[in-house]
Amino acid sequence: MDEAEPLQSVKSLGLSKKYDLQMSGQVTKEQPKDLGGDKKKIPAFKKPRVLHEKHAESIQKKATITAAVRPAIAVEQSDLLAPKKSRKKKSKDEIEVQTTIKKTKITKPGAVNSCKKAAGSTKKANKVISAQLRAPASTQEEDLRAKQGFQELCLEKAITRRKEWTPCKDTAPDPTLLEDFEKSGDSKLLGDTPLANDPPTSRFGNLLGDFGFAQKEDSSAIVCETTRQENGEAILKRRKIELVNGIPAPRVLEPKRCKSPKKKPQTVTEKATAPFAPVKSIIAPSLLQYFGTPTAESVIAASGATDASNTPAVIGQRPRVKKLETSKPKTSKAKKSVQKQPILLSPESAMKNAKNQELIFGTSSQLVREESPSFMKDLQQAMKESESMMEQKGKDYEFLDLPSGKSRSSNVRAIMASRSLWSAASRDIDGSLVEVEMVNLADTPDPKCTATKGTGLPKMPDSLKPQLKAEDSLPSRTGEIVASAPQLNLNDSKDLQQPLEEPDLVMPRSVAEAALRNRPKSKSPVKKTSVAKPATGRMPNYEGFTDIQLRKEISTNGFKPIKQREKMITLLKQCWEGKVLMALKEVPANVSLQQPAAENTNTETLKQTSPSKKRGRPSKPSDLVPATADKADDVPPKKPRGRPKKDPTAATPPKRKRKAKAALSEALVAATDDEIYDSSPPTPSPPRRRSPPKSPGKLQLSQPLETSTTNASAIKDNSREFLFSQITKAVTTFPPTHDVKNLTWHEKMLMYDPIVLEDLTVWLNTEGLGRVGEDDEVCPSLVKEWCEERSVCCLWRENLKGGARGRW
Amino acid sequence: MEARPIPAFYCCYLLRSTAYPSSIYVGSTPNPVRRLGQHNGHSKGGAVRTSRKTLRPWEMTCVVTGFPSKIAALQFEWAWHNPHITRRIPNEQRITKPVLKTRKSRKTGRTREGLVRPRMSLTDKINNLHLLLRVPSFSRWPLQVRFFCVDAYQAWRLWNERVNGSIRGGINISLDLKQLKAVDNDGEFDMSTRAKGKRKREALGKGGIEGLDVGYSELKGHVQKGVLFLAKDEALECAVCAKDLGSKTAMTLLCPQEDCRTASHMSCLAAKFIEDEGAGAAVTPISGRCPGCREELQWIDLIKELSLRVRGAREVARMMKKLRVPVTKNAAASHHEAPTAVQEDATNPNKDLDYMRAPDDSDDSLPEDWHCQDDNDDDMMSVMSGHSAQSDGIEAASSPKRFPSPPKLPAVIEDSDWDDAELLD
Repeated sequence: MDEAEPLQSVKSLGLSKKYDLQMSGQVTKEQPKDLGGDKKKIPAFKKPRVLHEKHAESIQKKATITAAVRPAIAVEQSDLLAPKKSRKKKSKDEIEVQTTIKKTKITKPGAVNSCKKAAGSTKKANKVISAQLRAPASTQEEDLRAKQGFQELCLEKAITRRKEWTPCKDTAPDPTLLEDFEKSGDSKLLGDTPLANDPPTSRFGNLLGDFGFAQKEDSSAIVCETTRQENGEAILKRRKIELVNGIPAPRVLEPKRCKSPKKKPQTVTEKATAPFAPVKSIIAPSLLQYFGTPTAESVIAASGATDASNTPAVIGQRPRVKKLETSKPKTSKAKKSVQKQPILLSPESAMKNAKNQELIFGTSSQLVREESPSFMKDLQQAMKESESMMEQKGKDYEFLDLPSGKSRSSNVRAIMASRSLWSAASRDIDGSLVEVEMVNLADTPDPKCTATKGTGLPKMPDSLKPQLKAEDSLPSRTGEIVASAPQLNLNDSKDLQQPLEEPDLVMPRSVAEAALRNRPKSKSPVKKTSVAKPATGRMPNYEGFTDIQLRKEISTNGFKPIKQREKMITLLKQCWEGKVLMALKEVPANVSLQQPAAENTNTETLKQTSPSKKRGRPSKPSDLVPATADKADDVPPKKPRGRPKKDPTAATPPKRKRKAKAALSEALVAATDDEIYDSSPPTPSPPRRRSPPKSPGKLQLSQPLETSTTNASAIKDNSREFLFSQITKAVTTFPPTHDVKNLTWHEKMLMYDPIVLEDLTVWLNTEGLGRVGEDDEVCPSLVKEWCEERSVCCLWRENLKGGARGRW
Repeated sequence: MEARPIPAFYCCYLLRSTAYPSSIYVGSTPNPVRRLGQHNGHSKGGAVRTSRKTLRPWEMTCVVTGFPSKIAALQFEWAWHNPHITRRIPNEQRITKPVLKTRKSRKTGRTREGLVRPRMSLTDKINNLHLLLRVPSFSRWPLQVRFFCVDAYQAWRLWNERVNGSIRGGINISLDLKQLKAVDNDGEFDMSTRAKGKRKREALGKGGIEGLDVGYSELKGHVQKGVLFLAKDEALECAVCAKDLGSKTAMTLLCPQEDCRTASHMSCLAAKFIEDEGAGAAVTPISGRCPGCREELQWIDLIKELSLRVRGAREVARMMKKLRVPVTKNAAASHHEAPTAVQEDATNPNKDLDYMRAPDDSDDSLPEDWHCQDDNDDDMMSVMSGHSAQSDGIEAASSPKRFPSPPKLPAVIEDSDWDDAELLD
């Protein structure tokens, strides 16, 4: 058989002689040390099949050497090479195999137990072990099994398994597997220590792992080794049997194993919504604990995991799993139990709650932008605070029937009057403010509580403050895990549901404070404007500047000198706008919007409204954009390009101002639409009047063009008619040649000859028209029109294909 | 390129399928009968659009005749075929508007929108014809319209009454129904050429498209007169400017009337006609009265004769040859007698033939013609005039000798076939 094998393989392979030789040589080499030296030869074989044969060969040899190993070898052979044959063999060896199984089953739990004891409390490791060995996942379970005479069950099943087992179809004989197995077997034979066999078995474990089991563990390897030593049974087989038809008992355990505590991937949405949704749950316990007595559940939760872990053994898998987990689940459970209480709210408080519920619209990514979850709320509150003052005033000015009476200044009122339409639009049927608000989160972190606005400014600082303070102190006292930022939990106490007008309450810290600091300033309109003012009161008329001045301006803005005047002007305008925007940015967005309402000076309003026009422009800094058109008298968002001149706010201001505004808006448009107004300077109407003679010559050039276009048709018609008559004159008055070979154009026409337009045009331009005193030249198309008007058959010399007409 | 005489006949026609009257076709041809045969599949060369068997046979509902050139006819045809886009129709007058159609290409699957020609009915075509005859581009062309179908003519008349704008007076609109006694020649296209020619001659003037004279035969008398008249060495004066026509009599227009001896400069007469007409800006006259006999003359007739005389030596020769046919017949096929007969009586057209020879090409026009007839009766014309002229020149010397004895002179005399050949240009 030894000699025959290589030959066979060679034949089957049909490879080159060289290869044959190599193989044969290798075989010969191997034969002396066939028992231990299989490792070397295996790599030489490139085809698994050859390997098989080779392997079988060696195994056979082994069989001859020791009878004890025989069954194992035989089994392996049968498995790998000829399943059907081997099956018969198996049946013969059945008894033996059964016994081995029995033994292994018995040993397994024991081994696991020992492992458990040895490894201590590394449950994870235990799990893994069990996974490989097809033992129960949890050690407790295993214990139970062991006590219940679980091995016997295994035995019975094993018999049926044995019979029904069929090898996996794609058990591709893996060289490494074989090798390992070989090795292990050899080592057994040689009396190696189990430790030495660890690596091969682990490999084998890997293979098994491919069938869907967990990772291997060293200890498991040890167990395997021990079993193997005892019975000398092939591991592979045993494993497979269990794989195909698992015992019912282990199956029950399986789901547990699969339930690895997998951490959910963190999503943007989660991150974004985290500050809002879970906040209550987190804070709630603290509050409750503070106010009320600790509930039984919470006590239970706090009492520790050990008690709980004991009880659920009967209950089911879930609690157990949680017990296994770290302390985190505990706390969550405790929270859960605590959470349930505050849900019971009185209808009114629930309504209030709902009213006070902040709605922040935006994508998750937008929401998650701010680090502190409370930042937005705080900022919003701050804004509201600052606005409420202004609004209140403005509202009162406009609507005399408003309940809250405040001093009115006639100045402001005059301005506000113009907005009555807009403000009316923001009212609902009952005359109350429409609470729907648009929050542009992309631009400003400015969400809004609408409910507070309608109610005005009822504050109850005295009653609220102490509670809040207490709440702040709560977390530290209870020692619970609470959100870092102390927040108002509106759910819990009815008192807290009152509109949070007081800035002190709402913003303990956070960036919003900065905004709040501005608040007092913003309360007085004058100061606010002063903030915006530094940019400029009004855009200078750059067109009126001399070139030198322009250059100076540009240099002051930090730009390189530009040669073209128009570009300088546009650049300066942009600079100015930028300045205005920067100035506006310093003020909170809403305030900046409200301001014009309260403003008296027209220039101010101009300045304030103009940036709003730019809102649509994407390139502009976003912070400027007033996100909320919350107030009734707010300037509605306008599209900059659509109709820049139609400014609802510009209804009342005196004419001059409106003009200026129009000019400004024009300039803005010009600045924005660079691609359109690129070449020609922007020409706002008022500056143009004042513009010095220096102002671009292009304008002058464009003037005649315009007139020409306006009067184009008339002039064209006139000139056309005149030209036509001239052509007619030139053609008809040309002296006839009376020569057949050299006809004049008129003669040709008289003879109904098709007229070649190009030729006629050339003749007209060179000779004909000059003869009748016409200096103008005509184009062929005009000649064509002339011909067609007179029913003269004409044609182009070149046809559509570009070829010249040969004859006609 | 050599200028060619005004074609004897060129027309645009409107075909209609008798099987599916909604199918129509606009074409142009110098020989409607032959062309209709092509459309109906009796002979080769029909248009693809008319090749569908189910649509055949086609009938010619009307023809627009009188085009002074092939190009003119083609231009008119195109305009008639595409009234939705032709620029000869002002947009405000346009009846047929292009249709926006979305087409999906099979290859790319993309849909493309485009303005396409709307589907037009016979009435649409007739309405557009009415319009085209009114637009400045065509209004002064010497066109005539003949209807061969009653319904088409009715449609015309209906539209003519309704439409705001009238056809120029000079444009003759007529219903030219085929007379009953005219031969119905359907399915008899395998006749011999002689029989065909005979039948054609018989059908001439009997209505229908077969009644159309597609040759120069109408001009025969005029041409003969011109030849005769100008051959005399009389000092002629222009009837308009009263100046001597001089030696260059080529560009002289002659009154077609037999007894009128009025001759005038073309430009002078044109100016007079235009002046008489009162159309100030017009370049080409349409018609006018002969300054001599005060007869109403069509400008196109004058020009046709002139162009034939000036440019159409070959056509004239052919025409004269045709005149010879009855002579030979009368002469009882004795070809020796024929020439003598020609030379004997002066009033005979043959007499004129000799005169005609003089002004054109010194002496080779007649023999050339004979030669043509003998060797290649139809193709000669279509090949190349330049080439033929050269070859004719060569043979001019020998042909006079052969002239007395044309072997199959009486056999192959066709004028319409000749026109067929011309079409192939």
